[in-house]
Amino acid sequence: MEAANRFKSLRAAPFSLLSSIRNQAAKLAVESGMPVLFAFLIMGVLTLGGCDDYPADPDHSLQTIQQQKLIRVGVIDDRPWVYIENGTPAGIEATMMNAYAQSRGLDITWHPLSKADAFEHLKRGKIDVIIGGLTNASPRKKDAGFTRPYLNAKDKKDQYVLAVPRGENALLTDLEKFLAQYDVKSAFEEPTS
Amino acid sequence: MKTAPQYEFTQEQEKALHQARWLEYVTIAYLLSVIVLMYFVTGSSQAMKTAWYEDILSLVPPISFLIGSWICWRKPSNHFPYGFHRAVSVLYLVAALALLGMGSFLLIEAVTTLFKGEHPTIGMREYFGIDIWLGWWMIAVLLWGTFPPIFLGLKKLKLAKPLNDKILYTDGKMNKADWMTAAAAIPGVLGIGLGWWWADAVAAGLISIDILMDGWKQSRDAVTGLMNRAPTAMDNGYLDLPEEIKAQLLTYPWIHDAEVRLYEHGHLIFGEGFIQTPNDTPLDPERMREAIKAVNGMDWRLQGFALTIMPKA
Repeated sequence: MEAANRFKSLRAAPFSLLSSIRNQAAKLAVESGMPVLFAFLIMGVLTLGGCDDYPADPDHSLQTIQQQKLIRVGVIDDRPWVYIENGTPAGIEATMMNAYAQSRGLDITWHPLSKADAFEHLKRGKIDVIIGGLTNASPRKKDAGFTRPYLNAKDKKDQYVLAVPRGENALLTDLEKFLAQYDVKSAFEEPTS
Repeated sequence: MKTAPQYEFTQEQEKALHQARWLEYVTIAYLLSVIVLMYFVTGSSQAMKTAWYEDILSLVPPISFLIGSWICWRKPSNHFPYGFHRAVSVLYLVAALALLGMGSFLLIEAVTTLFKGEHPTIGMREYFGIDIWLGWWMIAVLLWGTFPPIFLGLKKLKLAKPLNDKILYTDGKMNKADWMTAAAAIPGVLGIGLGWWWADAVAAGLISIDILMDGWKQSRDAVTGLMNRAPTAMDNGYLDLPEEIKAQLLTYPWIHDAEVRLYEHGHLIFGEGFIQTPNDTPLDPERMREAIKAVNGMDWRLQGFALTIMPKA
């Protein structure tokens, strides 16, 4: 009987230990006004939200771009969004990147690549952005961080986006802030530059 | 067929049941609001996704309670002579298994996300003309999901006592602990903002462990609850009722020896007492009725207690 009981308590031990720790912690936390403290902590952090370097990049993409004053743009040929003309990229998204670089005081190096290579380069940190008529319907969505659409539409395959490395949220939000102010129609009207 | 007597609520219980039902409707409406809001802001955060699933699962206890409160107080019938109280125990088991399954699934997902080193991508999002980092929207929704349940939980715990309702009690306890989910998810989201991509997966892991433990505890509770175990209080401590009944029976001079066994049947308790008269003197029906009535009066949960002669060993 005693042996059976001991066996039972041994078997239940890891779980009951964990849950008793959790229960104790919860009780202590509630009694000491932890939720309230927690609320104040959140408020405090929220006020920090105005900071410029929040959110940050795990791999410091934006920081590097700003320090070197250079953005490396992967180009997938896809008319009319991007295409190479007389050795330089042209098209709606190329114009867009030029405007971005200009507004941020950056130089651009263009990297014409195949679709597969572009995403591989992006993953390895060899380029910072991909342009090339990508949409939210792209099966590559999982391999990169897509901006929100600069051209919005109901259908996913008409929602045009740019791609940055996954999780590089500072670069992503900086691009998105730019896109929110950018007049896409001007790129449509402008002939090749 | 002799069916178990139908229990009549006291006024206090009637009021508590009414309030509890109302409270559970409020809970469901509130949870739906959290679930819908979360759906819009979840993005690619694993922690948010896990918290979202947890909120969906926490709809189950209120729904179980509401269904149960209709079914289980129905009058015992020929086909269900002991009544319908176990309907709730069955619902409870199903809910607990759902927690267990979902908890395991989410834990595995959190661990694989962590090991694959997937960096959550969270950009800008505009709502109501405010264009900010989606992480801030997530935190706003998580805060809405944090504080109301604490108060709902406390109120439910209070109402569960007079009704002796385990689902209501467990639901209240879960609500009370619900803020811990947000307490894990918010640092996860804030961590992403600081460039700590792993913070998200770690938060998701913690929340799923929490779901898993709730599921484990409740499954164990539900299974033992379906096994004719001795009656327990709501915190699962065994009652001293069998000993008290035995003592009560032994106060009668015409009872020489007595043994009692009871089992739990949802809210109620059933069972029987075996007695031995001094020198096997014959029993007087009037005395037995009196004893049965006295025993049934010892606890409102005690229904249809039966008294019989101890068989010879």
